Amino acid sequence: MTWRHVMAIAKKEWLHIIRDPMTIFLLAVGPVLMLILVSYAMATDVKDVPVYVLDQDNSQHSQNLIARLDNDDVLSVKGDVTSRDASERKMERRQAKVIVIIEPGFADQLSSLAGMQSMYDSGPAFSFIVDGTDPISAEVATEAAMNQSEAYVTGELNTLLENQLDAGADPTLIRLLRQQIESPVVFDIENRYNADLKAIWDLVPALIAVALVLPGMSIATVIARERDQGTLEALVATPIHKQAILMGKSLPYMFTSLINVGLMYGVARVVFGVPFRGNLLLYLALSGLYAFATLAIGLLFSILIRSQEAAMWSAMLFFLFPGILLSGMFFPIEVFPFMVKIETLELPAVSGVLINRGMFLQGVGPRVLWWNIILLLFIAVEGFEIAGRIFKKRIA
Amino acid sequence: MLRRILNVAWKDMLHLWHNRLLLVLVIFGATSEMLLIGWATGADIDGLRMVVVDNDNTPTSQALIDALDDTATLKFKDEVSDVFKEHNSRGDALDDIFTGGNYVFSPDPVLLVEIPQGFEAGLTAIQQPEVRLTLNGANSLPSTTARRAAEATITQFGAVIVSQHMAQQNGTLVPTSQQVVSELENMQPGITVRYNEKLDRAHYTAPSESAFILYIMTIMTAALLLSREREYGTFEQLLVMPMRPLEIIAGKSLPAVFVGYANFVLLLGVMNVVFGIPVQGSLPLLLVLAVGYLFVELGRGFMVAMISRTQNQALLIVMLMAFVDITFSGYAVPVESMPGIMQTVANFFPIRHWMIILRGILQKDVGLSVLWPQIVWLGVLGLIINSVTLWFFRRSLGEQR
Amino acid sequence: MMRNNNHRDTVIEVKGLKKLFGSFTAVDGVSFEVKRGEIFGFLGPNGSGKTTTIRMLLGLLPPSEGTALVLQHDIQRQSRMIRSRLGYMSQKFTLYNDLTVEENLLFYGRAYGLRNKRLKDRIQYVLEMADLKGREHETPPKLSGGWRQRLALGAAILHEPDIVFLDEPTAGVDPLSRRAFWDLLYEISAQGTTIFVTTHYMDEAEHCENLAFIYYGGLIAQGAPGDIKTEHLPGDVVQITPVNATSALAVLNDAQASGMLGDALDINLYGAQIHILTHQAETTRQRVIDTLDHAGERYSDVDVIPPSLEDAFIRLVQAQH
Repeated sequence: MTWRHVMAIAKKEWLHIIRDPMTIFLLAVGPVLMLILVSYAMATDVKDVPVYVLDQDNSQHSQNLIARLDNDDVLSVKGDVTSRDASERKMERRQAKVIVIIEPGFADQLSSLAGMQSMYDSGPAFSFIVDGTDPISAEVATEAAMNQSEAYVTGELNTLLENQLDAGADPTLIRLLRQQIESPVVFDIENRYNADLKAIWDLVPALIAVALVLPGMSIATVIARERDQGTLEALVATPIHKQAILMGKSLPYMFTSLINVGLMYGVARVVFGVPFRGNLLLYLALSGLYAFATLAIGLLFSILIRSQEAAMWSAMLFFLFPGILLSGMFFPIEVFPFMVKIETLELPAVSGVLINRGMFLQGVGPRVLWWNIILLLFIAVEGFEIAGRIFKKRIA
Repeated sequence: MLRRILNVAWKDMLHLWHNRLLLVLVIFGATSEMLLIGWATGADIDGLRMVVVDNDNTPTSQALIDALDDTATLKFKDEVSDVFKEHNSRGDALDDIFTGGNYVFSPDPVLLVEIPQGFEAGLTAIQQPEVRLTLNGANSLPSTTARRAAEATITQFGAVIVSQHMAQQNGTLVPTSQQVVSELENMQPGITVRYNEKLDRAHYTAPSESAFILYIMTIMTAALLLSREREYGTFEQLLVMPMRPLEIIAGKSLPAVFVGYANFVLLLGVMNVVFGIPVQGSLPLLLVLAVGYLFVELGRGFMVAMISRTQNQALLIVMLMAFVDITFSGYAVPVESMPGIMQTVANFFPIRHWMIILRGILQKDVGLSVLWPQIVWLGVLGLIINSVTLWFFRRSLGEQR
Repeated sequence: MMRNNNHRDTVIEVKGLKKLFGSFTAVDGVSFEVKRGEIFGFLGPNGSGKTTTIRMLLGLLPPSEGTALVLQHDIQRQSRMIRSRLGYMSQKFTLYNDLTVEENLLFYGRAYGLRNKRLKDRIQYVLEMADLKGREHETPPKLSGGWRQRLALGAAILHEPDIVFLDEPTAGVDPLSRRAFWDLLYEISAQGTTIFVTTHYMDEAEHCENLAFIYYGGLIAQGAPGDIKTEHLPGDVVQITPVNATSALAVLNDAQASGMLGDALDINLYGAQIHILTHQAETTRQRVIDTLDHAGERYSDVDVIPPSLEDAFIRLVQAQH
């Protein structure tokens, strides 16, 4: 395998790409567009969850509670309903994801020691109905509703106790009651690497890795395409080593991948303000390695599968769904069943996501990422090697 | 006319039939994929690794660690006081703790719980001791889940300790921890979760994934059936035949509809049998609307084929579209949470409406009276998309080179 | 009513047909007529506008200027009405490679509205004609070039079209298969189908009843092969087979320049042979022999042969420059 041969093939492949403005556009700009659009749409965490209120108490307290809920970023009070049936319909139509029901007597519970006692005996006179179809936003909305209502109730009860104490109530009793409303511990919460725990900060680096599957998919069809067009035999008849053909074919895709990394890095930093804490040179090198591993798998599909369509479908089934959904971009891979974890080892995207997040947010280096590097190296080298061997056997 | 349509459809089915690998991929690839992904992503976020620094070192602090470890969400990994002693700065120690694992055998911790010195004493003196929670923000979803679980558990634990201590001091009957917990729960407002009572994630992810698969299968089949003819030069032959553009498109639609529909029915079965998600609403309605939705997406598939010159291009375009569509489907982030303009934009993505219809019928048992706006949207979008596609197709008749 | 016993009716009538691609003129105002049942040859080198013309006649490409009537229908506005009466075999092999021979024919037949017994009969006919009996269940890539060509032709005439357009049907096929292919064309033509065929093989052009030469988008000659030859090649051809063609050509060119070859009109190299166009064949032949002997050039033969189309075409092209 000589470098001259590799470059000869690479040049030819590059011409294929640039003679075809649509493909060059899709390969060079597609991933960046995808990153911007997807990130912008998902730039927010769960917020403005629609809330409807069934207020049967109709008191100052119930009004205050509703205002308090509306004030929370996560929740957005859209209006009132007059019956449970009506609330049901709102939920069916997705106009409400949370229904707050305030029962008669809510104000009483917050206005006297007797009322407070009744709250302890039979629970607070308000409740929530939550649409569980989307469990994640349901959990976030529930947590917000619980926190806000608890804070309101606690605050009001504290005032009540304060007033009762001033009015000459038994201090021991008040102390006992106060202990019941107040939290036994307080929390000091620190978010390491992502101070405001912005979802966009961990989404964008992951997307950079996932977006690079596009060149990988594209290369999956190159061999089948040459076979379809009958140029493969001519290519093989040249004195160029088989491995050099494969290497040459991947170089232009490698090139577009690296351009993409550069563009997406800029977008992540400038448009989305994601910090970069690692070593930039190392990052570029690892991005190259990751792109290489992805291309190696694409090439393997290209060689294993004879028809262009089938190559495309398998590449898509391999890259698209697991590439997105199992890469760790949306779902934490550490909680997957063990067998699935093993399965994900063959997905370069998994290591890509880990490397990107690690270098952007955590600023880690080879000391931490070594096993991802080894994994990618293994995929890249083995992918090429197996591809080369099958190529030789099938064609020569 | 029908005969000519069927003739084209028959030919395109033969393409699938002759390429057995393709056939298997197209029909069963998606289903097996869904099993894997549904299995992986439908699981609850459980067993998140937690590390602890116990500066109190009392029976109470030990009991708290046990309580945290007992939750499904958290799993105690290590006591890491030593790590803090090894490093000069807190930041270095945190890096040491939060990085360097591997997700297969020893996942990185997502949460550090620091129990302060005097925790036990502070609790019983009702001085609200401060527990420090540090989250690994490199992945926000599990961190948030872990924080929520830790807060709830520690609060409950503290309440039990305080109540029991107070009872002892006052000489009243010491309540068991269950009694305290149920009393605490009684104090909470009631929460009723509708449609997915256990907040089971598989009930969310599996239908979403089925929608993606239905969508991508249809659009891909349509795009590839047309672009392969263009690439191989057989398209011109179709055009000189005495067939209307509409007939060619219709004929090519049938195999794509068949593929998409076969996938959809298979996926419904998998959802029901494997993931235990029955169809709550009207199955016939769902099956009918699925056909309608398929025809909307078909138009887009053909449009992709019309604007791409090779199959490779078609594939890339479909991929890009899929990313965008998945975004606007409301899968990862609810559409209500998106910026205002994006919420409007989302309406122009057929998959968004299909997702609502699918969820509505599958989980909420709603019918036409609720879903009609979505059906109107799909109808209008379908009309627009298919007219544009047909226009493209007609135009390209004059521009075949 | 249009039918006339003496004069066959016109099935293609092209007037001033022009096609521009941007500033490039692909077809430059060509006019010609094709009669029913004839084999019409459309000749020209690669890139001269043959395919563009066919595509316009099929209604695949709108002309920039001019009109064309195919079967009395305006191709631009009424192309769908006549499509079922046309057949087309394009330059590329246009059968589906993953479909079997039989499936391909079934698809083509049905697409042109054949069914039931007629479809079955026609497929049988085509299979016999293309000598593909027994290979119905094979896919085209398994067949050799000649067979594939005949299969594609079969698919194009399955529905017994009035006119079949063949765009370089024999490109890349061996001489024996080409011969067999032309025999098929005669057979089809004998059944009354008009054949419009493009080619750049001059020997094939000799088989056509009428010809049109297209060169750089414009027609430079048309008519029956014999007429074209007599019109553009006044005289006979002296063919020399020298041992060293290059030096012999130089010698002869010098001789002509000094008027020693009499009325020799034109000297051209034809592969390893030299053709000299002349009015007085015998005189020229003798002078050529003298000249070559005198110069010491060796040769095997000097014959008088009837002029070929190739001679005519070369002369026509030279006249253009």
